Amino acid sequence: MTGAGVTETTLLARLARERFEPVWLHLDRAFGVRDVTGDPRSYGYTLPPRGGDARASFDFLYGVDPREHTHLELVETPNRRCVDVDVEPACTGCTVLLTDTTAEREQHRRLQQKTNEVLLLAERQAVLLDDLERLNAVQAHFIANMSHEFRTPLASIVAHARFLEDAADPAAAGDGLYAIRRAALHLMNLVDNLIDEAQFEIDEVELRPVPLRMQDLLDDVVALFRPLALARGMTFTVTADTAMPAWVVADETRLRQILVNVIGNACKYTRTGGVTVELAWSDGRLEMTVTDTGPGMDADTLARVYEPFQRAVDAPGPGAGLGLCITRRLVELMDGAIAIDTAPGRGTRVCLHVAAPAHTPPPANGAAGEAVVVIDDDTDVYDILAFYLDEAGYSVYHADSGTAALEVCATLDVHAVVMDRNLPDTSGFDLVQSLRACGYDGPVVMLTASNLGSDRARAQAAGCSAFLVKPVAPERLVACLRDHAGRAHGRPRDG
Amino acid sequence: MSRARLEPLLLRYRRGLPAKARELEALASAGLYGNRALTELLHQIAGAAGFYGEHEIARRARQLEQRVSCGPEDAAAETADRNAFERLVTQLASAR
Repeated sequence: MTGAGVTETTLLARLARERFEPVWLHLDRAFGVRDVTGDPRSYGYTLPPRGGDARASFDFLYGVDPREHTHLELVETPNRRCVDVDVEPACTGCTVLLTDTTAEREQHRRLQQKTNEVLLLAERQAVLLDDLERLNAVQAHFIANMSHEFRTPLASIVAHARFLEDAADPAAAGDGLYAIRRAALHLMNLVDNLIDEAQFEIDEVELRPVPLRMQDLLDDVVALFRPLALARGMTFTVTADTAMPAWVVADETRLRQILVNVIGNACKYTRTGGVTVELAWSDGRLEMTVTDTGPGMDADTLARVYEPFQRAVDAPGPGAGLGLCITRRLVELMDGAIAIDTAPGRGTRVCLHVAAPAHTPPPANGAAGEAVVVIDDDTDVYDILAFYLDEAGYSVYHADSGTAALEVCATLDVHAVVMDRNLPDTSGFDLVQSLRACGYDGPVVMLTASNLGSDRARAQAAGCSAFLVKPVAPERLVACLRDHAGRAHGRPRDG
Repeated sequence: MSRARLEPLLLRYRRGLPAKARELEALASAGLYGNRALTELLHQIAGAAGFYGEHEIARRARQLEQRVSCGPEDAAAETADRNAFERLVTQLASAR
């Protein structure tokens, strides 16, 4: 056994030497070298001379007290290996043991690296989670916003479609189809903008001002809301100030969005009575007042009305509570302001104004809102002429008799007159004489289905500027009006 | 030109034509010739139809307006006028 024990001890000593490459330094109390076992050169240290100061070679000994047990871990050696250092006090000095821990250091380094990587990943994950949370909030806000915008035209489409199911009047059915088309176009417009807006944060909406014709906007508003109001037995009235320019410059989609939100709210909350929309314009600003006879709001509700996702407790139907929040932001974006006057049981009045400078369309597109009076008792003829003249940029007024024509011409700054030959209470020949006698000096175009040469001569003698035969091409009628604009009536032209 | 805004007008006009056919028939029951109300309605149809692209209706209405305002030349002409009137009424009544 003794022999085996010796062998094992020898084997363990050899393994220990190979694994740990120990170096023993036997030092006196002043770190003088008394003896060295092992080869310190394997760690890059110079072999110190006997009696010399060991700290000259082993600088980690500076600050070490030879009278105390000391353990230094992972000390880097001159040749970039690594050792653990153990200082053992002895009677005459101390013993210093260096053992190789290069492998441990490498393992420690790898562990540290992994720890750092994990920490870094955790940090990145936290940042990503923050981003995700923010994006989720923006997305939720955005979706709620858009849902609100889709709901109103969709409601109009549904209402018109339901009406068409029961419509016995073909003409009314045509109006319904038109309203459905407009509402669908509005939705399509929103979807188009959705693609653009997805690029922006919710507070970074950009305005895209374009020339827009107010009559188109008013027609759309009426087509969108009148059926809803009428279906509830309410009145729906839209009035526009005569000072309103035919064209203004504004972001059409945003302006429409504002109108739809405010009028939609008024229609939604009003059960009896009606909704009145008044539009005015002055000094480059469009002013809109929407008055309803709904239940009104108390002070608490009014204080929260612009906050997102806030809806009245008794709000009818679905909604995200974003309408007025969006509206105010858009109004302010359009350099305007909004105010609400309301009280319980007194209805609500919303007044807002936005920048909308007047726009003069280029001459090629027609007139800039000049008044043209169409005098014809046939509404089919009036409707189609009004359409073409409106398209050409004129503001069109209707008179279905001579008497009505004289009244209209007395109250308006009339640019031109288009009249039928036969009217219920007078002839076109007599009427043009009356107009001239009243001082009207602008163009008068007689438009008739009769192509008699005698009628032409009579028209000229009565004071007509031009004589055209129905059906005249719209561009020819417009050209005729332009041709005669700005000069007193003269010889009639052949039609 | 906004076709979207024009189409409802065209549709409404076409859908109103059957009513005009019934109105013409009612007026013609009092006689085709020397009938001021009938002549005025034909004049009105002749004036408006062309604006809405109904040129054939406009042409027939204008021809009839001229013929019924001055009376038939003979029996054959009267038959031709009545046939023309029926064709116009049929065309108006079948418009959609």
